[in-house]
Amino acid sequence: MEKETATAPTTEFKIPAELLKVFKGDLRLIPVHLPVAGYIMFDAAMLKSILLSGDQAARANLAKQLDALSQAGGELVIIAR
Amino acid sequence: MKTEQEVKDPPFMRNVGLLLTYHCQASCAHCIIRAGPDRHEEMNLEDARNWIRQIASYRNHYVYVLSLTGGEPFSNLKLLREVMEFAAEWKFYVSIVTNGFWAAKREKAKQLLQSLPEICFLSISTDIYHQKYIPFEHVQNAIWATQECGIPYYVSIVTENTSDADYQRVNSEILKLTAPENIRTGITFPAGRASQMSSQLRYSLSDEPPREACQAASSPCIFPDGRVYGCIGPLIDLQHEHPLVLGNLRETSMAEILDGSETNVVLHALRLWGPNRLVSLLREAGLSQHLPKEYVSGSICNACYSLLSDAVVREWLCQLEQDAEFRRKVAYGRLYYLKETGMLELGGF
Repeated sequence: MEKETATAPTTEFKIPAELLKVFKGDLRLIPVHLPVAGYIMFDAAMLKSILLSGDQAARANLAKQLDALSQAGGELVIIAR
Repeated sequence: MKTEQEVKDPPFMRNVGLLLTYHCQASCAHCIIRAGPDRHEEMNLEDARNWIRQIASYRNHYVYVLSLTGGEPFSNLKLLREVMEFAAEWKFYVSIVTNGFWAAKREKAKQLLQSLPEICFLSISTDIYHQKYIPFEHVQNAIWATQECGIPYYVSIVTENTSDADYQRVNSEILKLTAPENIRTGITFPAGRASQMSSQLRYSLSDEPPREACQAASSPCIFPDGRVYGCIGPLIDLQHEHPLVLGNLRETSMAEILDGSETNVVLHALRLWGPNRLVSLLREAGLSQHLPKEYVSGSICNACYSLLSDAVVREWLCQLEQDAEFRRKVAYGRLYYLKETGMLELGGF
């Protein structure tokens, strides 16, 4: 399987000034834990767990890359198996 | 409760749930789908394969994970194995939610998990409801086997109230087996089977809904009859059409349904601001009399369920879907808070 990486959107969207002001002044709260209503939702933490559960050296490195990518606002990377 | 700077939102639709079966060894009081030993409806294998193919084809394999749930997915091992093997062929990660009934003996449990190498993540449920039917020893064995097989996992505990002594006892027992970061707590609410015994339950109540955004609406769920919901929450128990019923795969393709979810204003408003924002808008619209009088503390699902149970609120939400200014706010809100451009790209802004 080919490795697929994220690419930047082809169209750059600019948030209108009046909405930007609203969003900046808004307090948005999200719960600490994901809901347990029925299934697991995939997130960066889960992918990190998967990555760290196998070959430690190689996967730890991938997990660090994922952290760096997340911090930069990036997307998840699909790794070939 | 954390601010957005400290906790991340789950990515939208990278995860799709498949409810494989309504059968379960337990008839838990809090079960929103009323699963139990007397239920035998399950997902047809050919349907599952068809839907998995469609999900894989959607937007160049946009979805990474299939989450198998129920009922109890291990109830029909043949179906579970076939679905997982097919999902793995199509390059999905597979996660499973289970009650651990299959772990009566440690070594047998380990052998079972080893025979299912496609499992990438397990969620093992236990609480006072499950423990009426599934001995805690099975959960202990399931956790041990999962650890032995190196499968990432967490343990899910549901309670009406985190101050409840029984919940704290179960939590303490689980802490002897695993680290705190592997435990997830959820709050039950009077929906599904629990709605029939709400007077016996010990919720903590509040005049106001929780203020947090909804994260469950980031992952749609597919049911055996082809219905697709925006989440696996109590809304599935409502008999009426509402904005989180995304479609039916027997009538519409997966791509159309998932594309539709990308521009579903109510769904994304919930993801951005939670039902609390809808409550505020309803008050501004002069519809306070249609709001719940009280909410289960800490339960976003309860707030959402209570709102959507009201016909006037549902009608108002249909109108909100058509409100151009609100659509615009949600679309740009997704960009600002979630770095998501899907609605902007598809919505013609």
